[in-house]
Amino acid sequence: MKRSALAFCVLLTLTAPAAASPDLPDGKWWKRPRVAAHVGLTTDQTRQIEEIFVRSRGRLIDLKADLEKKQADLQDAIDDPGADRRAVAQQIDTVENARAELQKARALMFLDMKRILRPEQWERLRELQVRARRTMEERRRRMGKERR
Amino acid sequence: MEQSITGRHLTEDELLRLALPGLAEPEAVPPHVLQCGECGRGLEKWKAALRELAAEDEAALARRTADEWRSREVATLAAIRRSGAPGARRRRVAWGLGLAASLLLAALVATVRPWEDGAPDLAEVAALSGQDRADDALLRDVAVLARGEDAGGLWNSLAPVPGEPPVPEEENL
Repeated sequence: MKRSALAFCVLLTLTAPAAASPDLPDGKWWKRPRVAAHVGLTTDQTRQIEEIFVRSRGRLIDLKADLEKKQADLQDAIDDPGADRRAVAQQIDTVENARAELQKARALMFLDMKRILRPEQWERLRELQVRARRTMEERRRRMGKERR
Repeated sequence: MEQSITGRHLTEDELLRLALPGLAEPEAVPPHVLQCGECGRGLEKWKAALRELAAEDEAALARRTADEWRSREVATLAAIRRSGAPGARRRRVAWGLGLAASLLLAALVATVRPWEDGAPDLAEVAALSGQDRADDALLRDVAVLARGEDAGGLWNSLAPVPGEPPVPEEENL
C-alpha cells in the first residue's frame, strides 16, 4: 500500500501537467445551476455524476479523516520537546502517503466523471477551473500587496 | 421665480451636457445659467459628480468590493433625494436612479461572477439540500487537503513560503 502510494506520487511528479489537468471546480459543481448551464449538463449526466460521487463519498470521508488524524499525530510529534528525528521523518512519510491516497481517490473520481462528459463539456469545465484558480491567485496577490 | 431673469431653466440633460469636460467652454454657457442660481447650482453639482467619477482610476474601481459599491449606491441615492425638489427635479431623480442602477450593474459584473471565480455563490449553496451542502463542504475540504493547501496545515505553520502573503482563513471557505 505504502509502495503503491509512493509510486503514485512519483507518477504525479513525472506527469505533472497531465496530473494537474483533471482538477475540476471545487465542491458539488454539477449541482450549481450556473456551472451546469455553462457546461451544458443534461439531467441524465447530472444523475450519473451524482452516482459516481455517491460511490466515492464513503472512501473520501475515510481518507480525509485518516489524513487529518495523521496530520494531528505528526503535529504532536513535532511539538514534543524530545521528538526523535527519525520518528518524525517517518510520520511525515505517513502523512504524505495519506495525502497521496486522498488525491488518488479524488483523481479517479474525476476520471469517472470525465467519462460521462463530452470532450467539449470537459474542456468548458476545465477552462472554468483554470479561470477560477487564476482569479483566486490574483485576489490573493492583491490582498498580499494591500497588506504590505 | 427666476424665470424672469433671462430665458428658461435648463433641463438636466442640458446641464449635464454643459458639465461634460471639453464641452463647457465659457462662451457656451447660456447667460441664463450665469444669472440663475438654481441652474448654476445644478451645473456645479453635475460637474462635481463627473469630477468624482473621473477621479476613480480603473484599478480602484476593480478593487471595490460589492459592499463598497452598495454603500456608494446608497450615498448616491441619498444625495439625489437631498437635492430633489418637486416638479422639474423629477428628471434628476430618474437620471440618478439610472446612474445608481448602472453602478450596481457594474459592481455585479466586476466583483461577483461567482461561477467564474470558483467561490461558492451563497444563493446557489443555500438552494442546495442539506445533504448536498454537506457533500459540497466535503469536496471542498478534500480538494484543499489533497492539494496540500490547508492553511492550518503543518508546513504553513513550520515556515511560510518566502514572499507569499499569509492565506486568510476565508479564502479556504
